[in-house]
Amino acid sequence: MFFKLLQKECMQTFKSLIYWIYVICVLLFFFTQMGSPEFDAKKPVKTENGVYGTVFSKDEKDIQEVLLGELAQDFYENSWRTYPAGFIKYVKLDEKETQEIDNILEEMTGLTEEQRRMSIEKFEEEISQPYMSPDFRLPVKEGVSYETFKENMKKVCVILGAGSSYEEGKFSQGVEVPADYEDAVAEYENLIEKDKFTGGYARLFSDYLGIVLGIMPVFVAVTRCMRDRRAKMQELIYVRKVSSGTVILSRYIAMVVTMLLPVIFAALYTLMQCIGYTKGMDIAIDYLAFVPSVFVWLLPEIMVVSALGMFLTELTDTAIAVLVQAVWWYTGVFMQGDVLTSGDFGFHLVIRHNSVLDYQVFADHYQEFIINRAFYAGVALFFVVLSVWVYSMKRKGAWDFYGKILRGSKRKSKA
Amino acid sequence: MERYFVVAKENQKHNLRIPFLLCSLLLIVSPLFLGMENLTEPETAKVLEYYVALISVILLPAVFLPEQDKDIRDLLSSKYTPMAKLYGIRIIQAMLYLMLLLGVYMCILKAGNCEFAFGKLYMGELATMVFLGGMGVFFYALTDQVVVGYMIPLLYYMLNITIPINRIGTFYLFSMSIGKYEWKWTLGMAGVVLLAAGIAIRSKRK
Amino acid sequence: MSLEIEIKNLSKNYGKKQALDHVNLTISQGMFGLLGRNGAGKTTLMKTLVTLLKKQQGSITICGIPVEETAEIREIVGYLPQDFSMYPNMTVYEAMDYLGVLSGMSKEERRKRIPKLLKRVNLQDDRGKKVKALSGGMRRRLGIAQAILHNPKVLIVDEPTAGLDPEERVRFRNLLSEIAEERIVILSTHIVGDIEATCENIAVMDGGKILFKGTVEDFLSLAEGKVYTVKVSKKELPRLKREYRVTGMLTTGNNVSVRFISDERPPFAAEICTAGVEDAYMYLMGEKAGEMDVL
Repeated sequence: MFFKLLQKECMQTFKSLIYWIYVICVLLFFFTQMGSPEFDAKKPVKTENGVYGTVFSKDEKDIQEVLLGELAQDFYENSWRTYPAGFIKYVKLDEKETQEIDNILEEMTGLTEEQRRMSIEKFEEEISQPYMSPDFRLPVKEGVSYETFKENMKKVCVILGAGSSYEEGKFSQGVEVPADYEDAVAEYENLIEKDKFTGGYARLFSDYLGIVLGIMPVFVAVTRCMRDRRAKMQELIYVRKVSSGTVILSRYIAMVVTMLLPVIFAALYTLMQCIGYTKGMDIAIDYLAFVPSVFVWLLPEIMVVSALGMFLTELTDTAIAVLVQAVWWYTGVFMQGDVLTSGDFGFHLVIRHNSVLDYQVFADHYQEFIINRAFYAGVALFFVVLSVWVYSMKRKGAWDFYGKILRGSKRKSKA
Repeated sequence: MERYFVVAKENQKHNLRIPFLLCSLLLIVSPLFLGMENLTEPETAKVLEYYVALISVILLPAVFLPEQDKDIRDLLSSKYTPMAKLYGIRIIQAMLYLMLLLGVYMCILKAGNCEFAFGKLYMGELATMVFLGGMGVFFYALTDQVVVGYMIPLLYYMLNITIPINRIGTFYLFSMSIGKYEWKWTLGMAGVVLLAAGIAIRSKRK
Repeated sequence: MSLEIEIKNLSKNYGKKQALDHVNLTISQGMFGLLGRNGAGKTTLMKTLVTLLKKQQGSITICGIPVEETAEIREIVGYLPQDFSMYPNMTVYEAMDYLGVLSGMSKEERRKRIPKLLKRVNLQDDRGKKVKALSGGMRRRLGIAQAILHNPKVLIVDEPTAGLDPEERVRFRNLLSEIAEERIVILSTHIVGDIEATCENIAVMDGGKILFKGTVEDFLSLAEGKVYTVKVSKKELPRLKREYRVTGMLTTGNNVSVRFISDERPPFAAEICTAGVEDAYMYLMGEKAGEMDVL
């Protein structure tokens, strides 16, 4: 009975308008974002004054110098920006707080306000290319420990509030420093040897599709669950012999499987492009690189978004899940600062890694990544179980208070 | 004339109250994660275009919700007042709410020492709202599925964040943030067309 | 397993409103009519029987199975709600097939039974039609077909004839009577004619209580000898309406022939006539209204 039902649910999904809009959304997003990426599998060439992009450095010296430079600059301009949810938030400091930051800077660098001002002005005069220039850096005073630095940054964070770049969680991931030729070659070698070329593109693929899959499945889920009531078929189904678990599970699995199809298609498309590009080159690509991106990276996202959507819709019989998911997605996508390859996976629904390079960063955070995805797969199953329970309760009329509540009383308007 | 006030009043009582409260709530919680003080003009525009504009997607498509049930639609279309007029009144009403919410919000920004030209940003933001909300109304009417009415504007919003601006041109949603105020004319007018087309399609639907 | 439904002391309330008030009923094979005005508690009773609502007090057994055993009850009960439809973009056959799967029927069973049932409800030529293209009457017939799809022992139909034209209504009643030959069919309605034409046993509900239960003959005898007709002029009509319970009127020219109920022989020349279900129903409701006045 289950498989027959599953098959019927899939067929129904294929016939529903929302599903095809979902497919169009996913593919439109895919083709405009990922489309035909600029492939590059050439070894970097060493040039004089060459620019090789940036790398993340976790070197304590780098971290301290970059951050102290930034702090001194912010102090000099008296402009304090934080990003508590991705949007800029200006913080105004009063005199006492300004003085406190001044003290910290002096303690850490040994330079007075006047000395720091001079060195910033000198730095700005020397900048030839304003966009390519390295960060302003200030060396740490002799004998000041990294522990003291961290203590002081904590104080800065208390003054500025959440979302500043001085948070330990942020800088401990490393600071961006200009890459040298060796770094660039290492990145290149990682892409060709460890990632086997396709691995990097598979990550970029997941990065982009993860954005759209953080919201779109909720529409399909909500529509499916509201469909019974809208078609006035709810009671006909409720009184059938079938168990609530079978109904909900067959619907859920059908949704997830069908929603995965355009993702698989897009993955195959990118894989074909990779194969086409590397043809004739001496690169051994990994043909299975997209398997984990689709099934480990993106599948749990589809699962949890549709499970939550299904649960909220069964519970309230409204489209409230769309709003809830929109808020979650919105804050989730915008809350991750501007560096999208930091390996800061945490418990973000939408995992970002916006680069075909940076293999090492990803590898270093691999465990975090797996925990994140396993967590969301678990949350998804939890919501599916809850949905089964809610569904069976509704079927029995156990929640039929006053005959109306929770069935979403139909509002009739004279207007 | 009086009949239209009655329509508007009923609409407020039964249909618009919850979307209106939701929108207010979304604006009220915004200081938790948005800076609302000491912003420059582009920064103010960013707050308005990236965040505040989204409430129109909640408020405008809601004008068709009461007739989601086909039986009610049949009953209503048999009444004397033409459906198109009815929807027109509701849309005007929803627009008034948007204007009110936006006005209050921008006054708070002004009070928070943000520097911006009130009139220019107000009209520009309104154009953005009419466009996003109008898109929702149009696709809701076209497909008779409220969910599509939310889906398409959201997709458009997403694409605007990620696609290079030159591919979208004057239809760019966040043009005030990059100082292109004149682009809002396109959005405003396209929005009105979408709203009108939405009403026309919906009133014809049997 | 006996073909019988036993309802004992069933009560249910929504907040302060008593939807069912100590209902006791025994229903056996054949057509059973449940009569009452809108809001009398019929739908609540039926939904409780088909496990869509939880009972609060009392007990129900259907063919010996307590109603709490939802899985078993659902297997032997078919239900046609008052207001229903199906996925509009499915064809008639697809909709039946889908519901058949939900009832746990095998492929073989479905393939055999669905065409047979569609034929029985005269939809065999419409099996490829989309549900949204069906007329009200066709949809009702499809409703009956889905309700007996899994061959239930008990069929419960809620207001099935509302909105049907007279011809369809007659056909529908006949269909129900046929089905009732091997089953219990409970038919709820506020249309007296439905009951008169089909049911042997009936119950009348009001305010969540059973006011009457028994055969149609017993029911008719309630009002027997109490129904009169008289011809009066239009001028006299208001007075008559005030003093008696009028159940029918027919205007001919300046005169009106009035059918009314009276416990005693009226003091004017009125003709006694045989009571119909409608008269009995009005009589019963009138008695109850009288009680209410005293309270």
